[in-house]
Amino acid sequence: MIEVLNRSFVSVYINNQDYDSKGGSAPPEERAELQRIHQEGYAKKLSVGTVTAFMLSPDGHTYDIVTPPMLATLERTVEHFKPTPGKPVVPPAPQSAPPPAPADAVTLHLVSRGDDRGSWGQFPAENWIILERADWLKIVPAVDVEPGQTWEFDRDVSARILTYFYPQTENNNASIDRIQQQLLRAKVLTVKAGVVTARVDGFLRMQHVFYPGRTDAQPLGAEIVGVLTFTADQPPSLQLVTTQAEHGRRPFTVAVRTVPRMAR
Amino acid sequence: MLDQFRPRLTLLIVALVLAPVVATTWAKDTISDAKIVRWVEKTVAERQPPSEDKRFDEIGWAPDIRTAIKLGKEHNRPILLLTVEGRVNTGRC
Repeated sequence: MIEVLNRSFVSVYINNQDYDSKGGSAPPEERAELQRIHQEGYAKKLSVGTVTAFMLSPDGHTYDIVTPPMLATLERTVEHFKPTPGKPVVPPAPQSAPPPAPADAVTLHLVSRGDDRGSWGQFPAENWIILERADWLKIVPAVDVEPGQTWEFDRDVSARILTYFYPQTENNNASIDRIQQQLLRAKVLTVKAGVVTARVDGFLRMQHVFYPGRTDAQPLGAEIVGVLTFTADQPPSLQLVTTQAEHGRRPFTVAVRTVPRMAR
Repeated sequence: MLDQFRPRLTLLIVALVLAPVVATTWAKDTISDAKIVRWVEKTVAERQPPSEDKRFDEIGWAPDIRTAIKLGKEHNRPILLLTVEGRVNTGRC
């Protein structure tokens, strides 16, 4: 299927929330195009929904809607439009990429997934979290430290990280007011040539709803360890992992890593 | 009658009170300071999405609808448009 798409189609995906008429971030021209595509689908009596795979003609008019098996719909469309096969018109590239950030910011990449596979557990969930200088200065001590010394992360900053510690769910409201209790505490292990290495221990207790718009939030608990490495006045490197985590009765794991500045 | 259950009840209360404490200290107690750096590094690496879970990235995706239509016209190719609630590229949908 990937081969067929790359060889004979132009592919595009959108998030409906970006195209929402009330506050979506997509430009009005983009929103108008989606509206037109929907209207053309209705006119053709296609089963247009919010989560839909549309087949459009090369000039962008609604032709069909993909129904299982997807490959058969693609092949029918190819047969109808007879495109000249070739290379992908857009080069494939990682679709989960770090957002732009200031040079002195810390970019964190989070991967979370339930222990289950199939359905919601099939693909991992990812988030990108940017800690600007003013943020990361709140998780490292402003003074020299010695082995054994401990401190707690600023709660506002740790909340901005821990709020994404939930498995794949349809609801992705990650507002920090879901958090009931949280703590990330660091303890210096070594100080070598100005480089401080500290272990991090912590936990999270919050409520998270699986489906958007519902009120049946399930308790979520996670135990966390990690490593924080830093030198004076430089962006730190932070890694965190869950040692045990459950949303309701669903176990899940999380890993957070700092993306090296060279890789951004 | 109640007396014979009291020790069990006490144990239950103690267990309930201590459970969060035990859970919180579990990781600290099981991964020593000497091992924590390598263990965390290894665990972070193990939890990165494997390539078979990133096949979505093997498709060339246009950035938006208008660009897709422009490319469709230029290359005479039909267009697949996926409309999704949330971020399909990060699995948060």
